[in-house]
Amino acid sequence: MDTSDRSPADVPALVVADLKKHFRRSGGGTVKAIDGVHLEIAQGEIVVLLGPSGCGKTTLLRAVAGLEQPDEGMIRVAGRDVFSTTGRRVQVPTEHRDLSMMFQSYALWPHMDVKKNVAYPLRRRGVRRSAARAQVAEALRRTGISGLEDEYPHQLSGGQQQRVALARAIVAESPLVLFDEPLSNVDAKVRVELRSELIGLQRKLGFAAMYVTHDQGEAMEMGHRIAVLDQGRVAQLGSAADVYERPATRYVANFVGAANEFEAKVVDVAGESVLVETALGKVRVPRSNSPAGAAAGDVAWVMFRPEWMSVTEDADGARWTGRLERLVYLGSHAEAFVRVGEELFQVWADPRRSLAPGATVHLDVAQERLRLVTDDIDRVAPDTTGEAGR
Amino acid sequence: MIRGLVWNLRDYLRSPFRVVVAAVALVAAAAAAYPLVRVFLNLFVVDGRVDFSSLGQITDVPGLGGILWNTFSVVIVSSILALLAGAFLAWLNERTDATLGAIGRAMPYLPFLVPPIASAVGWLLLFHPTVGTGNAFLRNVLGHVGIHLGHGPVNIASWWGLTFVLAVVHVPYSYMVISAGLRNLDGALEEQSRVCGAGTVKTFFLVTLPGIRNSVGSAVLLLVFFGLADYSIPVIIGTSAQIKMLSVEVVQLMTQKFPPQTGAAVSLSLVAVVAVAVVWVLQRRLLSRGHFYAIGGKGQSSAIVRLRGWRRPCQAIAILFIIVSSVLPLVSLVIVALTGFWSATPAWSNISLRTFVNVLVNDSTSASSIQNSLVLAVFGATLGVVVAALAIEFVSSGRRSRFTGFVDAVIKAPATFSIIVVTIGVILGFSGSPLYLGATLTILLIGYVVVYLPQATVTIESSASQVGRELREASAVAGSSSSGTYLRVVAPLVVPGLVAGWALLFVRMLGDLTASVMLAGPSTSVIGFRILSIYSNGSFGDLAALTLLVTVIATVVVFTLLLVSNRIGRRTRTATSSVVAVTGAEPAR
Repeated sequence: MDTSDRSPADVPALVVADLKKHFRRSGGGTVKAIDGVHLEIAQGEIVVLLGPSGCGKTTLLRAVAGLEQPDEGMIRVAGRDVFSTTGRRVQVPTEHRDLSMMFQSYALWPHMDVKKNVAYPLRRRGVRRSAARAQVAEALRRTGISGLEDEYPHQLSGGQQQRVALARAIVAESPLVLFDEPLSNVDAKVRVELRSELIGLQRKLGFAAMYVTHDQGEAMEMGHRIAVLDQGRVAQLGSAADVYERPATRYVANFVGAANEFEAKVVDVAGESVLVETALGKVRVPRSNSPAGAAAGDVAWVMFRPEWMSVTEDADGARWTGRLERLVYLGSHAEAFVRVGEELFQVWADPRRSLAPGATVHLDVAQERLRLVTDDIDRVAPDTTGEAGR
Repeated sequence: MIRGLVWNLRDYLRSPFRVVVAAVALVAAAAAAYPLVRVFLNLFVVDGRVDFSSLGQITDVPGLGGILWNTFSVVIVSSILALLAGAFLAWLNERTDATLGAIGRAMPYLPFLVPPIASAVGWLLLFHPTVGTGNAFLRNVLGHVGIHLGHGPVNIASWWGLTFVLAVVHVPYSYMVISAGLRNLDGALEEQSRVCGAGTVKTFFLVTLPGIRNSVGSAVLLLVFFGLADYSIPVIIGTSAQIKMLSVEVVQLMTQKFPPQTGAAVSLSLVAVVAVAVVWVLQRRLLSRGHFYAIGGKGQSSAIVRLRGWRRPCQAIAILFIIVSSVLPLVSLVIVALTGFWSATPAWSNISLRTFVNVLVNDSTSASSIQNSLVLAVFGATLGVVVAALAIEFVSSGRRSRFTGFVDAVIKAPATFSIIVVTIGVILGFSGSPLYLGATLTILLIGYVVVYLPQATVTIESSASQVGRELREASAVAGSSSSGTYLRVVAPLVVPGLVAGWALLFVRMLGDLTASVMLAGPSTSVIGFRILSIYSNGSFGDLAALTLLVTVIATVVVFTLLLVSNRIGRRTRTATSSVVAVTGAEPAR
């Protein structure tokens, strides 16, 4: 990746290539915290790292910050290699990476008042006291906490502490800001408020961001793109719609949103569809929705979202017939749990419809909505890569 | 992997601050390891081969069986007594409405304010069977009700007396540890038990006690360790009771035999080390068998037990106990120091400050001992705190590795052995070739620092651990170098811990007996050394005056520094704890 022929505006804020980091377990054995990650964040783009705890998302973020040392690979921030094991080894210490970061605990220094906390990144980067003062005031204004300059962290509410941490993260106008689950410590209402403010700030200031969270709602709202991490690997990288509508693997399908899935065995690949044998009979899945190179004999899962399926009372043309076990009223929709053979499907139904548990119902889902997924990250359906390949 | 290591090393060398920190930590580790290594080499390496036969020299100790029996019976019984008393006081203060107020808060500091030597001398002056002031007073009272005694009724110079004083002096340790355990035990667990229908007593035994098992285990370990290591109470009270204890015998083997019987002394000390190790293993076994889960520090309320009619009596007993155990011995010291003589009936007409003038001015040995001790304590505490702070910085900043863990363990290793073994190592390592520091103040300084460094390390560490990792990382991300991060973020937050550590070291070094008696000589006398020589052939008035002086200096220094530390810490501490609360809290979902 030669960056010399790109104009400055084209230089990605972050490039991570083939990054690996293994931890040795105390009881022996190793954990692959980061297992060959490739990732690029464009200028002004927010990429969210999403995954459950232990998937490597925080380790990846900390490796970019220089707080963890990867075993091998390359990290380039704004066109400058800050870590590299290919060729001449590069390892720039955290303090020289010119980044900003917002920590989960906010990490406000308790012995400094708000203005000192926020001025810190500027002062350490050689900004004169008088110049820093104006920038601090601007950052506090932008984060809506003007007037708190002289308060100490323990005198502030959780939400205010968070805004101070945010002000400190944006004050130096670093090209890349790292967010480590910054909203997980406040209550739901403040969180929603801060999320939209954060997006507003980002659109206005235009910094690029890497944002770690385990909350899929937050990921979908915040990220231009979402990287779903699975055991140290990027299982899928794409827009919220890509990840939800076209999950690349079984893991992604289940982690983001609810999924109906049942086991299938590929019988035949012909033309534009793949024929699979399942416990519920033969099912045809579009080839574009199936793993690349699917061949007869492969084991996979047929997957679809609850709202892609409908409940009908008309047996004609219905795909499956089953028994309604439970109906949960949720206002905007009702969630029906329908037993078909051994499988229990979750289906969205019209909340005003009167359905009685025990009733026989018919289910239908369009063939083009069916997807075939596997556990294999390297074999994903052609349409899932979306923007990920850019 | 190797390449990574080389790169880390290069990273290190780029920052002069980190080089200094690493150098200090390594020197500290070397200074801690050297005496222990010398002990090992001296005793267990013969002609280049490891040979444990010198352990057999323990049989040269005259009356070995009696010494071991005395030591273990006294330490076990006194530990049980101290544990019960400490647990009761802690429960009263933390979990009932019979709180102890300021006295309860002051409890953990008592051993620093009143050195064990002052307690030992004070109790002896009070309850010596014939000339004890307290005994004379009691006989007088009993005489009024028609009971006439020639001696007694209390005899502190006995097995029970020795056990009692040892227990009383160590109660603050068990109180401190168990209080902390109770504070960390979520009161909701007890409330749940009450809701389920268990009463106060049932709840205590079924929920509270199992919940603080960990702290009880630590308290037992601490009590046994300090009980076996203590020298001042056995030497003062044990000697007058003609009960020989292990610590006293070891010191005698080193100081009153020529040549010193190092082999026998170390072998005997190792008995104490092994005993502590056994308690430690038992504690780990018993605790790991139970189902434990760490209790979070979030939103805790402690269930307050209402004692109703029992409240006032309990409070009175507790406060009386604390006052009697700490104030009474001091009163007798004051009486003897002011009247100049120790007698059953104080000569009130003789009251003067003569004894204080004696030890401060007239008696040049005492005066120079005080001067030496003050100089050593000031320098030793300062050196110790700086070294401990930098060593902790080395161990806790940056990436934890096996190497930093090893350095940490080595620096704390002397704490595992008794002061006596470490001091023997200091003698072996520094008094002879190649350094020839014997009978100098330098060897005392080295000895004090090596012996007490682990204690300072633990104190400062607990305050440094409050500085969460993310506070440092945030500073690094903001562009600060490691020295900048230390000066601007870590140091300001650790200052209260440094001040407390300094006070601890100062008091320990000023009142030290064990290391002093082996390291000091007539030309390099220090307070502890002087106290013992006055005790064996001098005036009790001077003894009381000198002991009181130590107590007063210690109290003044500790109080002043705690005030300073609180003032500095007021802002940061509350803030730090709120940060810790935030960091420790589960993400709100």
